[in-house]
Amino acid sequence: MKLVPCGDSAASVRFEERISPEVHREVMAFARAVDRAAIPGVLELVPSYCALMVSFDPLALSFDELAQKLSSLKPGRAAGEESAAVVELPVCYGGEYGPDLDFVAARAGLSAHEVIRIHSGVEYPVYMLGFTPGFPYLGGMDARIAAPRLDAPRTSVAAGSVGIAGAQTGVYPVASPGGWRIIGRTPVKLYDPAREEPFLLAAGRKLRFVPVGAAEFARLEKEGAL
Amino acid sequence: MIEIVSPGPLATIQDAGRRGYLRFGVSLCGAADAFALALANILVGNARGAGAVEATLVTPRLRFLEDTVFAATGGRCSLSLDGERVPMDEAVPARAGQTLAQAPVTRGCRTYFAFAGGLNLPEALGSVSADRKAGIGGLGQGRKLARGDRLPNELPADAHELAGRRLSAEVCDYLPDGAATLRVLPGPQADALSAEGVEAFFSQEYAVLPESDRMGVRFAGRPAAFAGGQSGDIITDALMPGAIQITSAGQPILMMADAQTTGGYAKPFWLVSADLPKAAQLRPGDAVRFARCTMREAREDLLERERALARLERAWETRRFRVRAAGETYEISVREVGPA
Repeated sequence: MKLVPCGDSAASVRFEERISPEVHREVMAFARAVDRAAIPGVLELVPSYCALMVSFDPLALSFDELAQKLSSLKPGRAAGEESAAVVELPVCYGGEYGPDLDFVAARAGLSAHEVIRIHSGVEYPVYMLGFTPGFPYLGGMDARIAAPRLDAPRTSVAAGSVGIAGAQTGVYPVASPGGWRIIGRTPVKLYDPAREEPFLLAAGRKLRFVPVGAAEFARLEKEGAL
Repeated sequence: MIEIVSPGPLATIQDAGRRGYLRFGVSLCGAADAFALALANILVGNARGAGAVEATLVTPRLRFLEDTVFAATGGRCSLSLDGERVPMDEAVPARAGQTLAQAPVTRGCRTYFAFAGGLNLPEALGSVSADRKAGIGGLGQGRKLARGDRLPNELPADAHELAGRRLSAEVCDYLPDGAATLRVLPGPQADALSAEGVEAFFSQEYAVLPESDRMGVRFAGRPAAFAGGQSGDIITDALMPGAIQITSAGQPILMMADAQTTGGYAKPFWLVSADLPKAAQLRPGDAVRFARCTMREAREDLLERERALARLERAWETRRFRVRAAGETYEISVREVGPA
């Protein structure tokens, strides 16, 4: 671990430069330790795959002062403190909600059913949120169902769409243009600014997709809209 | 109420920005030039970070439906109220029915309009700043201002005390006038460029591209080369306004208020905080040089600016005291009129 400046208003705590659950656990453990320390002047903590950005008010704190405070932190044992709860996200695969499911299946030489089983059979670590509000960068997708992006991105992908791009999978929290192969959709809102907890996910959580039928999708969508 | 008769190319509601949601992928947003926002608000007696109108390259045509007091700061423009010239950097009273004409911004890029009493708009995630991507803020859904929009504003009872509030001319010295030097400190990938790449970055004059916006200022110049074996692609990490990404093509992008929260390009440099207002006032075609800075210099400049704002607030602050004398209670108002 080392600390490098981001200008005069943030610092980046760097861990081993690779994408892995072990490195990310260290990032999250350090983030929790910084959070607990409640250092005056620290404004935001933004974890990513193998770094933690700590932004601060440069009038209240200097990089050197922050470096000194961070170096004395004792992050807890990485594993023990994790929030164990897995977020389960109901997904209606294929059909109008997942127009690219058949493409992904054909490419993998599998049936659509097997793609669904593989995609929903994993607990995905949430490495970070970014790109758009609440968009989760997930790890751990089975390489057998990897698929290239669309040649020409769609001008609008519906909120809740579950997609695959290369070896990654993710969920669009808001409607936006996008080039991912869409295999399903969730009726649950990952981001709802009007909700008391606007964001369903956070870095460090785990996510599992649960297949549901169209009727269940409609029921959940209606429930969520109330 | 203030009516938007014509919004100009891009006018949005912005305040000091949205704090605490970067880790959820929500941009900071807020005024691109936070210094100009603070000045406009202080002139009309508002809190520094209150919501105001940020206009880009051309100011909006406004009709005042009620009496108000407003102030315009930042990018220079020639303002007239019902045909009569009114100054920038000053608290200007406007009467119900009067119209502020549209004006091109002739120096700098963004002009700020603050109104005494502020704008009575609901906050979303702690801010009224318009964020189109997150669909929040402004007059709803984070959209830009449109013809016919009405901004709710209520003039405070003590607005008459704002008369005479005026900034000195030097306050806009920071505005670029066709050319600017921006000072940088190291970013998290400080070793990403080769020695020649670093030399190219600091030795040349870049041109600001027309694609620049509130997300980022884009520059064109001789490509800056990456160090051996590096492509400029990194494992995606966090960023904020001020970060300077070097794209795979070797061109810098300076991230601004609406910057996304994560990115996959190397960030060898980071703008010093004190130069963010200047960067926010760059126009397409402006010539920009980058220069090295020290942490100490960066902090002292920021402190200097902070002291200047605090001086203004103190100078115009009215203190009220209740005094009891001979069985009666009196309220007296006190204003600082100069050093003892």
